[in-house]
Amino acid sequence: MKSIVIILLTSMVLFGWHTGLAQKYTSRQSFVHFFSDAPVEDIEATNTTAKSALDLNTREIVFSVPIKSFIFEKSLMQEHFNENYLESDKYPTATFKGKITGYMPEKMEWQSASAIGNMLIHGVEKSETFDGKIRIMADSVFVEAIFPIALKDYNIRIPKVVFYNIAEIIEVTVKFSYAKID
Amino acid sequence: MLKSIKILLIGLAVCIVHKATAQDELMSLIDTDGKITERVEATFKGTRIISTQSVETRGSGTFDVVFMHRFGTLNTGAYNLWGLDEAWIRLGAEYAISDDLTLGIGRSSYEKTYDGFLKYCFLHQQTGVKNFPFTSTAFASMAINTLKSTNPEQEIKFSSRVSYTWQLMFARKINRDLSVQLSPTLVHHNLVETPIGE
Repeated sequence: MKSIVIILLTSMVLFGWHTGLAQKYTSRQSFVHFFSDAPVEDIEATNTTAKSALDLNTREIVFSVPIKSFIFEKSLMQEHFNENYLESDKYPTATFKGKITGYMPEKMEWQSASAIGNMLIHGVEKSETFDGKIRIMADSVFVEAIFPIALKDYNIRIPKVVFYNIAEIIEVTVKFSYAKID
Repeated sequence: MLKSIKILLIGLAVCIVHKATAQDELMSLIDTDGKITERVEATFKGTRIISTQSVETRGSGTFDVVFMHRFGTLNTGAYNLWGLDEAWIRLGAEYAISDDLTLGIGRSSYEKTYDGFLKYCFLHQQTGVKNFPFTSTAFASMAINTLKSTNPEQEIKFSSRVSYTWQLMFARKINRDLSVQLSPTLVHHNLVETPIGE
């Protein structure tokens, strides 16, 4: 009985200490863009509805990108992207859960950092590491990264007939600006 | 001793659980499940279902050139390759003024008909905060038959060559593999053939 009380108290203290120091931020603005460079045509799409949150105390970062909100120049490309390749009815969002490493928390300028974590796209989860940069200010944080995504890693199959229209590895850009939450 | 190991283990478990949920906790801060409304896209993959119109319209600014064939009947047998030997052809061009409104023109070899149409999608099936069960599109077309009169003595009046079609389509994408459409249709011919004596 006594030990249970101790455990409870300890975990409460741990938890309380933890949240007391939490420095949580949620994104106010976001920009997710991808670019596919292939022999026949370049394809790109932009999404400004992604959301992200980060905790500077634990250095954890998560983001979630609604697949259907990617805007393409050609509406048919957008339809094929959703219907045939990303199957957004089945897998409506792409998410990332990970940690940011390699930055100095007290530095107020742009500095390079890396993110390590699990990316979930098209229902397939894979560990990814990518480099980017971070800027920490009084009440806001900015994060930017450009990284490659290999379609075959996420079981995204491109039919042979359009093979020359779509790159096997696409370049993804993410930019988030965050504000502190209470 | 045994007790302290137990405490340590439970404490460790608490820490691990905490660690695993920290990212999910962050995730819950940005959770948008059920907080947004999404339009149901691609009820049908094309703007037509075989020969009839589907509720789909092309995206704004799209210029579509459509080359259609309507073949003969299946029951004409192997000699006629089950209808494939004969075909009416319609050449058409369509332009999407907006995501919802399309204008089109065409020329069909059937009775040498020219046609023009307007297609407007005015209700969208959507899910999320605001659910709406179906997509609805209105279609109106006017067609002019330009066949020469079989009787050279008798000119056919222009008004007699004109026919109109109106459709009000309702479609629902039930799941990834099934969409259904209902298309109540009204066709009006200014002049119709009637047997002599009526």
